[in-house]
Amino acid sequence: MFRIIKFLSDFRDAILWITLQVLSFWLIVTFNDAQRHTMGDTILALSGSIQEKRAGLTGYFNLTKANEELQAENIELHQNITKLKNQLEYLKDELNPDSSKISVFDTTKLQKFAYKYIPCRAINNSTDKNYNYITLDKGISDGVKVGMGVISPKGVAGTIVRVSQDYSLALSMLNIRFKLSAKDLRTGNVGLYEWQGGDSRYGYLKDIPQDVEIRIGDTVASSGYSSVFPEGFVIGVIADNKSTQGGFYKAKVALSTDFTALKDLYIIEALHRPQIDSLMQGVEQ
Amino acid sequence: MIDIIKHSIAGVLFLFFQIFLMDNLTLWHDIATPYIFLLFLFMLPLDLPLGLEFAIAFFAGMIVDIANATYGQHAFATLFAMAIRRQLIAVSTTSAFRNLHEISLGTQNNTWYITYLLPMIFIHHVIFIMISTFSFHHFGYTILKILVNTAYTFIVNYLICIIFYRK
Repeated sequence: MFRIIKFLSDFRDAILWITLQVLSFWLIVTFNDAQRHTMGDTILALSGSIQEKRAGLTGYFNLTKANEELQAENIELHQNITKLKNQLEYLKDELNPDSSKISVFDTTKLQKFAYKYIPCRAINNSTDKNYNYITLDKGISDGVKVGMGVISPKGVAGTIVRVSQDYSLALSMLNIRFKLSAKDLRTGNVGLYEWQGGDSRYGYLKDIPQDVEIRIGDTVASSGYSSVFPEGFVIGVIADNKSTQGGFYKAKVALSTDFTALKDLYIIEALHRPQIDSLMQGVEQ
Repeated sequence: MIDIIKHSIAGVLFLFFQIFLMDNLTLWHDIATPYIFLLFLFMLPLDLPLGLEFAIAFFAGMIVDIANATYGQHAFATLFAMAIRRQLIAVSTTSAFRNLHEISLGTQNNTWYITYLLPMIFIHHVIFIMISTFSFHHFGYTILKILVNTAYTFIVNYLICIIFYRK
């Protein structure tokens, strides 16, 4: 205690000086407008930068918590995605055949003829041969039968020619043996689609008489005569109308299905087909 | 005792003329104002207690501050200058330094007195003008103001010394 008093008395002048100096400085920054504002701005800038630095420093300590929160959010989002995916699948099944393929269907005809769609996947496909086939991952156990049509989301893809228990083989549109009754949607004239090998992007529409005007850009679609595909199912677009063969067109058709990138397909079962087939059989006999 | 009365009267007179006369002697729109009350503070005898010296400097500064509405600025600067004063005298003390009881032109050597008064005024003005500007913008202008003001204050104070204190 004595030492403290001695210290204070030894330095009393210095203490007085410091006190008065601090007091006058306090008066300056308190009662003078310019100095107060400058001081206020300075203190604000200083405290702002300190707070920013402190936030940057303590931010690391909150990373664990932030990480946990993000993980929880992630799990929740994953669960939502799964839930929505399930709902989407369910709704797809509910709405088939009308909704998802609406762009390639002529919907007015669909109401009369019932078609069943079996979603499937191409597990093998070729485009470089004269006789190309598509292998699908659905077979007898899924209700696939020989003679059913195969479509891609963009248009016709082929017809089923062979079925095993779990797999099926489809005749690709890029097969010289593939024939399909097709029509020019603009004029309504019916011809025959076939492929002649070579370029996987083009097929030919034949058997339409030359007195009918077929224009470049006309849409070629299934005629519905074969009862394999519904009527109005897109095959492709006329790319060249110049070449002819014995008074008939041999029009080049740019196929709408990209056969080099086949993946998700649908097998079409025409539910009214047995009736029509039996009628035909009766006539032939 | 007679010295206390003499210094007290001098203090009152210096402060009175500082407040009521010197504001009319500003140069170039308040760039330079002569601060004559500094002369009273710088003439305080060295055998005075240091604490009392600080107190006198603070209150003299505060009185000028209150009159000029510059609360604290003069007090701060005069306090600072007074803290330097004895160190400056110790540094500049030569055989020319005659009397520590009376720091006036009449008692001291003329050259010594100038080398004492001019740095003191300069130090005070550096602190005071920096404090009253309180900014480093237009720093060249601030320095110019310090130099002009120092010169003006010194000239006025030196004239007062010649007129009233020379024997």
